[in-house]
Amino acid sequence: MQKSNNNEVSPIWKGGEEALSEEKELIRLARMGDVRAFEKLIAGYEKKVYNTVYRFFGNTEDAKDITQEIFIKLFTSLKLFREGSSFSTWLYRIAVNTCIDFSRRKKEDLLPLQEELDDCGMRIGEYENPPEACAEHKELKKAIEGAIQTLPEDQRICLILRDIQGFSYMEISSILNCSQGTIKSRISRGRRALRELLRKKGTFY
Amino acid sequence: MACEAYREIIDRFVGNLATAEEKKDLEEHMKTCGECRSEVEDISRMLKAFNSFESVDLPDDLMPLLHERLLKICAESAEKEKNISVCNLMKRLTAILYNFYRINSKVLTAGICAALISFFLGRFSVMPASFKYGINTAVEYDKIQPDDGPGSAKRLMMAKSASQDEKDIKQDAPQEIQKGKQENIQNDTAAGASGDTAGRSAELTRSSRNGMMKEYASAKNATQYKVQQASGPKAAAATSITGQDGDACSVVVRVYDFDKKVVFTISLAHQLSGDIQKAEITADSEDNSRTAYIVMKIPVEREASALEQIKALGEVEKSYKASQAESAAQKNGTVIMHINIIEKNTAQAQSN
Repeated sequence: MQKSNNNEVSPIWKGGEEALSEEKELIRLARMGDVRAFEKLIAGYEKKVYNTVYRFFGNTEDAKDITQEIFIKLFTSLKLFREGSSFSTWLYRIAVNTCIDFSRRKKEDLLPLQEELDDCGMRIGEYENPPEACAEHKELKKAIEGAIQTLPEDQRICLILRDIQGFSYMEISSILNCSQGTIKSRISRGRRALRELLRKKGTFY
Repeated sequence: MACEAYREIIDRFVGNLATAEEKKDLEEHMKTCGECRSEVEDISRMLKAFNSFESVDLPDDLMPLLHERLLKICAESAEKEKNISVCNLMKRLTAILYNFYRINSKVLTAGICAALISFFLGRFSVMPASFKYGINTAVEYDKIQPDDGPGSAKRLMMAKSASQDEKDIKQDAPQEIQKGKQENIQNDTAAGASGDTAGRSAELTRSSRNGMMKEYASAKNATQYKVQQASGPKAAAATSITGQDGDACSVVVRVYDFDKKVVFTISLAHQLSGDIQKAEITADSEDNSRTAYIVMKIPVEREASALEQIKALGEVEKSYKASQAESAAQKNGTVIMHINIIEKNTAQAQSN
């Protein structure tokens, strides 16, 4: 289940000092172009990154491409990583920025198409029959998965990181490099916007 | 409280982060406010749905694809590095040179300055006299030494004594110089006596080669003069001519109107804004003539006119002027003149 996945700790916190020095060594090797060391370095992060990207874009195709892009970006810009700062925070920052960049570019390219899709989604919601309890939950999940993509990028990423991936406010604020207050307000606005969307679709009454 | 105010509490409430007080307050509010109640319900359902989102597995081909792409990037960057390695080498070299300069900038600058200064000093010939002498002596010595033939040993000896002479001058030891000179004269006479003309010619060329040697020759003449005079009645006067340190200029004049000429000479020093350093008159009982020995210090630019006026006093017996570059007094802008005024005996003149 996702929840258990949320509680999974990053390798950094697993072994304390030893893991940190090992990470340092792997970063040093990866900087010199050691692909194996790099793969060892990102082991444990790839699934979480992929899931975040998948939730952000809502489809496996984009998730696959963009996850690759993220790790390539990470590999090529590893020399810019400042020693002493947290590697995982830096990794997620790159992941989030790449997602937001792609999403904005995609929106610019596919603006008319996106609107069409929105209309379509709404109509589907309208004509759906009121489902039973279990079926209703499944329906809600599906509706949320679709609706979350229509949220503004900053609210969407905060909502995914907090409510789906289970990062703390503090972690999110350091990943996005903004205050916890900003994160809280984005999450609050995101939740309400999502609720509005679902109400429009008829999932919520 | 308006519903707007409950927003933050609702956010905390759904995340199980609200305090007991907040919880109670919100629950009270929800009893009366349907909008807030439905908001809480909806958001709670949403979060529940979020939590039930399954973690998606990575596509099987994702990591192998990534691995290939990473290898490709490595290969490309290696290629690029090869291409710019020459450029890098140049950059590194420049960096090394720059660093070397930066670290040793003071030393380098000092070195360059020293080189420039020595260059310009050489240009304008204000080099220290001792430095010049050193070079000349070495050259001289080299030139004479390989000359093999009859009397070469003597020539070598002469050269040695000459260099000894030069060294002595450098050390400002006038008495030593005199000794050296006298020795040299003796050598000269010895050479002349043995008929070694080659030695003489060598001596002559050597003398004409540089200014110092000229001075040396002049000084030798003066000594010769002294030797000639030594037996004569004017011995005292002659001794004072050459016995002085830093012989800048010396004149020996024979005059008729002795008193007047002496007074004129002394007043001349004041006219030319110089001063008298020594003035003494000695009387020779033998031929009843007097000799005035005057040492005056005058500015360099006035030297020529002073010399002219003194020479006009009477019959010039001897006039000697040191080479300007070597005069120590010139550095201060002044020149020291040694003037000997010898009274011409009227009786002598009559007899002449």
